[in-house]
Amino acid sequence: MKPPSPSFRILRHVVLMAVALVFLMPFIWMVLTSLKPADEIFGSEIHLFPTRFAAVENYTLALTKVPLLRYLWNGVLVCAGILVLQILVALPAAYAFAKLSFRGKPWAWRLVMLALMVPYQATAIPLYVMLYHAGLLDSMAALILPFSVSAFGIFLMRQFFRTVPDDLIHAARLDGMGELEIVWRVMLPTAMPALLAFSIFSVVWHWNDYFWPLLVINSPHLATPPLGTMFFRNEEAGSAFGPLMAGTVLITAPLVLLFVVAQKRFIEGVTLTGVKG
Amino acid sequence: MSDIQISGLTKRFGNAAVLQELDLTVRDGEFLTLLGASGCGKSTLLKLIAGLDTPDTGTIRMGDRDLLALSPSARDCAMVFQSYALYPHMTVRENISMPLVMRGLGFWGRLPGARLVSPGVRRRLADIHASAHEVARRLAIDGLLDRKPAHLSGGQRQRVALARAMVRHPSVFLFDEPLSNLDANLRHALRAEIRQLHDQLGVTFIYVTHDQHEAMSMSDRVAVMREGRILQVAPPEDLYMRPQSLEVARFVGAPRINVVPGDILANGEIHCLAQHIADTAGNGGPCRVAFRPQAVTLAKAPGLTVRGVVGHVEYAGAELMATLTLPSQGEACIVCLPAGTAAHAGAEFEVTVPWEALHVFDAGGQRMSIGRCDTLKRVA
Repeated sequence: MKPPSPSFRILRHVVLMAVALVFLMPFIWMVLTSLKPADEIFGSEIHLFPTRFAAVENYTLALTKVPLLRYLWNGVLVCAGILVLQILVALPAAYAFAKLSFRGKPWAWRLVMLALMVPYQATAIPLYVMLYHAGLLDSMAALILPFSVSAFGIFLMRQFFRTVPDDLIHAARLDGMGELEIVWRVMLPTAMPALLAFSIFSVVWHWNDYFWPLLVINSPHLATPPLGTMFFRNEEAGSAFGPLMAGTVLITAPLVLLFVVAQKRFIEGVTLTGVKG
Repeated sequence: MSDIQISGLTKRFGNAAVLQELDLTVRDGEFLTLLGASGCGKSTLLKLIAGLDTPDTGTIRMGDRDLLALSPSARDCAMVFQSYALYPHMTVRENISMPLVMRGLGFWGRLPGARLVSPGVRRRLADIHASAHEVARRLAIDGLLDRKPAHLSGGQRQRVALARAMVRHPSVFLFDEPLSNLDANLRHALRAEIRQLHDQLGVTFIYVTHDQHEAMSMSDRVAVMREGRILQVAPPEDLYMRPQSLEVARFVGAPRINVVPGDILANGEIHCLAQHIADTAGNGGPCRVAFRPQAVTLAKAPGLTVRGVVGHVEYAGAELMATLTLPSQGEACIVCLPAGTAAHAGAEFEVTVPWEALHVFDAGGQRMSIGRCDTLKRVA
């Protein structure tokens, strides 16, 4: 194949950069707004860059008017709790589906697939009722427990475990490992790439989730970051977009950092699920 | 330690019987090879002995112990796999140590970080690593202990797998085509090494392969398997010289044994290619006469004279492999001739198979004992 001509390559990059800019614009606007004073945000002229920086005021306000750090910490706790439980459930389940034979396996697998296809909003009301009867509404448990079983996690890990050679499991059994030890000592380390991909999906999803916390949380001190910004907007800021955007930047930052650190894994994860899922 | 007695073993996958009523005794300390084409059930049999699968019926006993009642790790069998089956995330040292870690340390001792807390765990782990090092040195892989399997060559990986099997001093070693993924030179070298290892350790080796050279060169006895049954169990020489059935004769030896049709007269004379070649006590009827390509001579001798037209001639250094088409039958035989023999394509050629080198099988493919007939008598 002939390498493309220089003019074509330049054109290609111009188009790509233009598209990238369209996607990035809201974020750029968010960051820039968080640096502007109120009169510039609402001024009739539109400046891309602030003429007067109000970063210190906006960020101070965002961090002091509402317990933003508290929300971030809640977000970390919820995401970590969900992820740990999901892994504890999904790995042994995926191993059983991939490598063991037991009565009723095809039906159990169909149930997993069914769970994968039901949108979680559909189960929200029954879950809410169950949590109400369990007396768990408006608690950390209400945020974590409903997500402890991830059909997607079971599905993804099962697909990956199927590629692990049977001989490896046979060797482990001969070495004296029990089934659960095989899961944690052999399957888990070999499935690390898939597990990381799943972890990233899970964390991003639950960090950004707004629907469920809105439903079950009333106490401000239990709010997750997206819910927190909501409180922030209603109670404090009204139309003070500068501090609001500053708060949003702080909430988005951990995810952006996570993406930068795990960029390679993230893309691996997308391709892994794209090809195999 | 004692013999392994397998009796009436049947294993089905769905409707297909992979093993059918199989009986086999593996003697204590012998090197037994299960030889057969892929799908004959040899690997399944090995897995049943190891405890990685359960049979539908039948028993496997080792002395007075019922192996089927024991878990895989309690059976005192170690296994080496074709794919090596090393733990990819562990170093060579950890791989070799694993069987001892699982046996020597309790649940708490195996938890990550236990050695940082408990001096007892540290001490036992040091002992285990010393044993691993000792075994590694025996197999000349002690320089690789800190590497991961991904950074090893195929031959090195197989040695690590061997070390992992040896470290627990099992009374039975099971090999599932351990050399099939290696290149020819390495395979040859490791063959000799595994045999040496058997002689040093003096324990039972059960070795599965589809490669008859491996089977013939390493084993004390070979069990030839086909379609879930054992056709014959015998020392390699017996298998080659006195195959009990046509199937075994065809499976063992390269190039394949030549088979020509024959007849048994009512008086017990065996006739083949219009010659009276031998006598038997059996009844009349058709039979099959077989001889190995290497068994022919150019000298006149009592036996079967094979005359035909030379087809393809293959030069193989010390010898020639010539295809001989028999005019009467239209069948081709392969004969192995000394290098320099004047056998040219298209020419007529005659060789003799000495009487001792003839194998006669009855209509059912079973070996018949034959008696010598001295007269080189032509039948009109």
